[in-house]
Amino acid sequence: MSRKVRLTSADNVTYEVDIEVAEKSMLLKNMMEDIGDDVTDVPVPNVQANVLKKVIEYCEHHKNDPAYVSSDEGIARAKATEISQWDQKFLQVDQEMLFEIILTANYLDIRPLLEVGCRTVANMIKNKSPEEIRKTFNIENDFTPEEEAQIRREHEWAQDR
Amino acid sequence: MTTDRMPPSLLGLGRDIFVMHILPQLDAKDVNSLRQTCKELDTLAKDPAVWHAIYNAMFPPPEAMPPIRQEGWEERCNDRCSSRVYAWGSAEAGRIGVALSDVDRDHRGRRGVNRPWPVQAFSDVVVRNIGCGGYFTAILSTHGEIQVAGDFHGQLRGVSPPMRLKASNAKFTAMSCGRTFLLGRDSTDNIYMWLHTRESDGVLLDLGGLQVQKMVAGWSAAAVITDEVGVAVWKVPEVATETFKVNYLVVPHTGGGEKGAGDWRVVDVAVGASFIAITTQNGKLFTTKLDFEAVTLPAPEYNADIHAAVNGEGITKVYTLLNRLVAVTANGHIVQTQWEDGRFTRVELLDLDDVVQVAVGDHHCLALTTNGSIYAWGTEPHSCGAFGMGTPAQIGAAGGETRPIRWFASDSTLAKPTRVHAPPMYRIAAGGWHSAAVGNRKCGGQD
Repeated sequence: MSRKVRLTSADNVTYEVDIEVAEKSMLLKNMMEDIGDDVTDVPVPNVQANVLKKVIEYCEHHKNDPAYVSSDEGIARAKATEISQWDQKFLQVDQEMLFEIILTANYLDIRPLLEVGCRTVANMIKNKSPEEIRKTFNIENDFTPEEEAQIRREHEWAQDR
Repeated sequence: MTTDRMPPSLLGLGRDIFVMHILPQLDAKDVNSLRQTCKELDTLAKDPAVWHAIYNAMFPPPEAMPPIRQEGWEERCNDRCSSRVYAWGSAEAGRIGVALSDVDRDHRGRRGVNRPWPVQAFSDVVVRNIGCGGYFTAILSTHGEIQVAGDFHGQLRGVSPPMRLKASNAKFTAMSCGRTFLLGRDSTDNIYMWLHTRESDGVLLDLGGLQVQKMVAGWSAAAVITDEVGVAVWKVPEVATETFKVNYLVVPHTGGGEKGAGDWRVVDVAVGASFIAITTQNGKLFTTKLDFEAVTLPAPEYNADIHAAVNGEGITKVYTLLNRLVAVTANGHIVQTQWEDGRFTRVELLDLDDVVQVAVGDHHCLALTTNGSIYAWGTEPHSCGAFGMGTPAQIGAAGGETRPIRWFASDSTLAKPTRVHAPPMYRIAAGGWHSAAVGNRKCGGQD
C-alpha cells in the first residue's frame, strides 16, 4: 500500500492523499524530500480548500502519467489546441475557479496543469474580436476612441494571419 | 495570495503566466485582438519574449532570419506574416503554379522560369513550410492547410489552381514531400499520405500507435522518428485506400537503451533511394543500407569520412534525394557525398558558411544561409531554370559550365555553391527540375 500524506488548506481543511499524488506538485515534492521520510502532514497555506480539492482531483487522475518533459517548441505548439477529454471536462468550471486553478498550479509547480489551464484560457481568446474578448473576460475598455483607432491601425497587418 | 483578496480575473493571472504560458499559444492575430481590449494587456503584448515565442511557434526552425529590419521580434513577425512564395525552374505540368506565359521575359527561358518569380496562386495564405516533389510544389499554411500546385505524377496539362488536400477535416501541423507522394500530419497526430492524385482524400497511416516526433518522405520510402522504436522506415506502396497498415523496418540501435537515448537520441533522418542517414543529439552521422527485402536492416555505421571532412564539427541536419547526401553542421558548414555501390564516395566540404537549410532536388541543390541568401549548385538540366540564375550564358558567367544538348537547350553545371539573386528568403525547397522558396515581399521580385 502506498504511503499517505495529509494536505491542509489555508482554511484548515485536510485531505489525505497517496504520496504520488502530492508529488505531482514539484513544490510539495521538494518540500517533502527536504523534510524526510517520516513526513505525514504538509500545509498548503496559500490555497483554499475548494481549489485544493479540485487540484488534488487532477493529480489523482494523472498520478500515473509519465514525468513531465518540456517538449519541442514546434510540437508543443502543434498540440496546443488539443486537450484530453477528461481535462476538458475537469476544466469546465466558472472563470474564477479556472483562474484559481491556474494560479495554484503555478504556485505548486504542477506544470501539466498550468499548461492545460493556460491552453483553455488561450482557446477562449482565439478567433475573437477585441470587443468579444472584453465581453468574455469582463475587461473594461480604458482606451480613448482615438487611442483605440490608432492601435487598430498599427496592428492591421496581423489580421487574417 | 491571501484569504481576503479579490476573486481572480484574467488580468490577475499576472505578467509571468501571461507572457510565458498564454500569449505564446496565440497567433499574431489573436494577440493583436487581445492588446486592443485594454491598456494593461497592450503593455503585456509588447513584451519581446512574447513575439519571439509566437514567431518560433508560427514558424518553427530551421528558418533563415533575414536582417531586413532590426527593430525586434514583433516587426520580424510582421514581415514573416507578409512573406510570399517564389518559384523557378520547369513550369511543365503546373508544378510551380505559374504559367510560363505570365512571367516577364527577363525571368524566363524557353523551358522554364529561370529567376525566382512570385507565385500569385499561394498568395491568400501565410506559408509556414514549403516543399517540392518530382512534379509538384506544396505549401503548409499557418492555418493548417496543405495546398499543392501540379500533381504527384506530372499528368496535369497546363496550370491549374493549387488544390487544398483533404483528410477528414484535418488541420495539418507538418508536411513532408516525397518524389511522387506527400505526407501530412494533423493536429491529432494522425499521419496521412497522398499517392496518386491531389483530389482524393489522404490515406491514413496505421503505425500501430507509435508516437511520431518527425516524419520524412523520400524518393520511394518514408521514415519516422518515434518515441518507442526509434527510426521506422517503410516502402511507399503502389496503391492504398482509406487506411494503410505500415509494415515498417526499424533502424537498429535507434530506439532507446544505451543507444538511441540521451546523447544518442536521433534528431534528424533523411531517406535516400537505397540508404537512410540519421543524426544524433551529440552530432554524429550514421547511415545504413535500405533493403526492403530484408527481415532486418543492418546496424547503422558511423561515417568517419564525413566527420573528418567537417573537422569533427557536430552534424545536426541531413538532406537527401536519390543518391546525394548533404549534411549540415552545428556551425552551418555543409558537406556533400554520393552513395555509389553501397557506400559513400566523393566526400566534399562545400565552401559556404552559416547554412540554415538545404534542399536537394533531382539534379540540383540549394542552400539557404541565416541571412536569407540562396546558393545553388549541381546540374540544371535542359535549361529548365532550376538554379534561378538566368540563361545558360548567365550561369556560365557566374562560373558554371554549359553543355548544349539540343538546339534549344543546355545542361549547366555548377561545382560550387553560387549565389542566386533573389529577395531574402526564409525557407527553400527543391524538386525535380524546379525550386521554390518563401521570401520577403517588401524587397520585391528582384534583387
